[in-house]
Amino acid sequence: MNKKIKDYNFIIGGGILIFLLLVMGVSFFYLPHSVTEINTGVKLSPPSSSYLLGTDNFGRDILSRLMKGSQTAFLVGIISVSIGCSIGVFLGAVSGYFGGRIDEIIMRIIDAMMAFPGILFALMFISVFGVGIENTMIAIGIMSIPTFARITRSGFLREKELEYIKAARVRGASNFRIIYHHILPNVISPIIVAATMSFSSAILAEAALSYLGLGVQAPNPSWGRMLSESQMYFMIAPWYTLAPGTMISLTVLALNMLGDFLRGYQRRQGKI
Amino acid sequence: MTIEIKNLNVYFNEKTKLQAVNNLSFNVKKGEIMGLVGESGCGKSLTSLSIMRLLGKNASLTGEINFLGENILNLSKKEMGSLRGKEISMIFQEPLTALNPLHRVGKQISEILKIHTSLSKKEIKVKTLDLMQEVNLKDLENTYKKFPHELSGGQRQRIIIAMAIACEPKLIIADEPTTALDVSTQAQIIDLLKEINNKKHNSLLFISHDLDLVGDLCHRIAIMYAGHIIEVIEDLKDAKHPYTKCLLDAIPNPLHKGNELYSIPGRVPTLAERESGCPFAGRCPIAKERCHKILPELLEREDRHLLRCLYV
Amino acid sequence: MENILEIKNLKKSFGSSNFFKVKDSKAAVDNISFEIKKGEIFGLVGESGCGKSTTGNLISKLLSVDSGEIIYNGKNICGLKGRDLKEMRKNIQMIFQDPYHSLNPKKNIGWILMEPFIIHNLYSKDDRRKKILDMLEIAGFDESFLSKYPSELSGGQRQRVAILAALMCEPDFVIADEAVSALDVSVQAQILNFMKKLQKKMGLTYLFISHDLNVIYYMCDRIAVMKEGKIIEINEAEKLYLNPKHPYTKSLLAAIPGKKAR
Repeated sequence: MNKKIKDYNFIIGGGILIFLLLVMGVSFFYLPHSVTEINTGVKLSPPSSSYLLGTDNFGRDILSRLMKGSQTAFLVGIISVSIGCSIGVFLGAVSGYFGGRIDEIIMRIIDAMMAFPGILFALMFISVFGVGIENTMIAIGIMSIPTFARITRSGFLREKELEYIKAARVRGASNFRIIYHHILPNVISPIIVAATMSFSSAILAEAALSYLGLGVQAPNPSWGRMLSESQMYFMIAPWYTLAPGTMISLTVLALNMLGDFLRGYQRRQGKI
Repeated sequence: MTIEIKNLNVYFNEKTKLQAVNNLSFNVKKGEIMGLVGESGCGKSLTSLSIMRLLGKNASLTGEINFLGENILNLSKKEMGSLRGKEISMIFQEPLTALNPLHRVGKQISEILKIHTSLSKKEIKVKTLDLMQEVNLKDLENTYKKFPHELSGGQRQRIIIAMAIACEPKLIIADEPTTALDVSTQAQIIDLLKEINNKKHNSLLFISHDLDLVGDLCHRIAIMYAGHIIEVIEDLKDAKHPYTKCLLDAIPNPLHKGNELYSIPGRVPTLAERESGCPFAGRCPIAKERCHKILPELLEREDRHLLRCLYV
Repeated sequence: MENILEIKNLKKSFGSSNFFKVKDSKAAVDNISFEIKKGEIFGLVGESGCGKSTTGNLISKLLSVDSGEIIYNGKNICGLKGRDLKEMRKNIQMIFQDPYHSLNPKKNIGWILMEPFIIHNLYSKDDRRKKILDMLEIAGFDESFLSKYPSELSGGQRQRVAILAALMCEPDFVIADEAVSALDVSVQAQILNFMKKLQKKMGLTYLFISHDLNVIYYMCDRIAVMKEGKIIEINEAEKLYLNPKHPYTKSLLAAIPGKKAR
């Protein structure tokens, strides 16, 4: 019974993700209409044959903006997860491997970061460094550092005591070699799960920030901005809100399902 | 006869039905200490878990396990639950993980009495201290209050034995109870088990990979290989089966210091690799062609000496 | 025969790092001294907690000593650091107990056996491959083993790979810390035979640490018995076995099962 659920996670999550990736892939080469061209004559028109998902309040094609927005979403996801992962894994590895005072210092910094609500930190960061997609990505990336650091650290603490590490040390391996070649490959699995989950959090966070007007700036499309801009027209043009809302939900759902599947898969692997 | 196992087969239900225990039959009499010996993967632990009906969901079994005349494979979960701990009890290998780390050890012994008897709280405490004395623990009142991690390995194992004898079981199953202990502690625990057997005449099924240990303790020894019993003897000196003799030769003997140890070529076949014919045929020094085709029966040769071999 | 290793007054304590000063930091290794001759198999036996594994870890420099000297081939290796330490690692090697955790599960056998050469920058690429194949042959493996992963091997096979990995740089001195304790009897016999064969072939000296008296007596030329951090008796194997002097040794011997069978 459990196995079936795990399979559905993979099939549905994977399926949705592939669909989204296709949409994004296509968007690099073809968009039905211009993303920025204003055409007030057709503003807020419902879905039709020429505008498959209707138009927004500036007469721009929602489908095209949605497709372009997927690029933004994935870009933010990739960059912020990369920032969080690289810095977080490094800190966690150093902390877990060397222990002692270094561990104490790093963990207290991580604790302080975790005590801060993520969005609040992002707001502060952006108010200091300015709005825009770059700062959004950096802020979201920094928010995810503690998760990666803690997962990496616990993996290192566990593996560090095992005999193959002692064997490597006795053979003369340097600390770097042990960290990079021996321990890291054996702790990478939970980090990958965390990366998947962080990816979906990043997309949500970007949507939230853009909704607040702090993330992606006009006229660049972003699902969050589209949600914000569509709000006041919800009663007369519901398709305008539904489109980006559905995209955000689908993406986050797909990523979470895949993350669950990976976690279950690893658990089964680990048990064997 | 305290327990009689007839034609026990244990399968693992995955896509291919892998058989871990093949048509196992043996019995243990009242007051007898029976040894079940074999290397990893031979199925000895699975046999003991089958008796206790503690196998995982992915295992299935066929056959009969007659305990005091009744086939316990037919009992309901509830009936089996009242049997475990009371009529049949088990001693596990690793005392630290067999005890609940968050409860004091005295309480853990009392719990068994609470579940299976109708004694009052006061009577339970008295009985618990009695049991602790029976297993040769010292400083009873203080030890009663300790947590498992505060005790030594030997002390923990004694607590487990106290739990196992609490309800005067007819059958105690001990699965490698001394493997995790030092050699001198091991000797003490073995002596304790002997003492209990002498006093209470319970049956003891002693599972181990250590032939010497089993040879010292047990009245009869069953040797297992790849899911089959291949020999049952009363004295290791009488061993005739090639596998038993190979095992005995493989044990380092300080008196034969210079000689190379006999090491059996190849390795134990995994569940998927087991073929028809004698399970040991692939590695046996005296195997002939017939051995690969025919599975020998476990036959009684001389007085109570059972042997499964075509050529010995 | 000259001494390859001399231990002098070795001490090591483990204290818990509490906020308050802990009074009972017990000495795991309490002022021990002994010598090991070149080419011999020296046994260190004792029950759990006696300090034998700690001694092995001190000699292989996985742990640092509190005080005392470890003299290897005439030089004190206690204070070694950096390049000298790495150099020493070519000569003193170690085999561990648990075959299921002593190999990196994510690397194949070829990588595991190649690593010592890469760490110490030895031999050319062709020579490396040849040496690896030679070592595989001694263990009875063929070339196909190079691409296998530890999870595909049995306990005995893994232990043989672990032993090979320790011997790639041709050390003189090998510490075997409970190297056969986690193996079945028939596999144990295989590994003990293998270790003896390697000793003859490569001229090794072993420090054989175990709690199993049968194995120790069988394998070793001389034996030291440890209890609570101290060495209480050292003697040649037969003399210790047939005529133990210390009451603790006597009690250990008396506790070994198997009197009936033999």
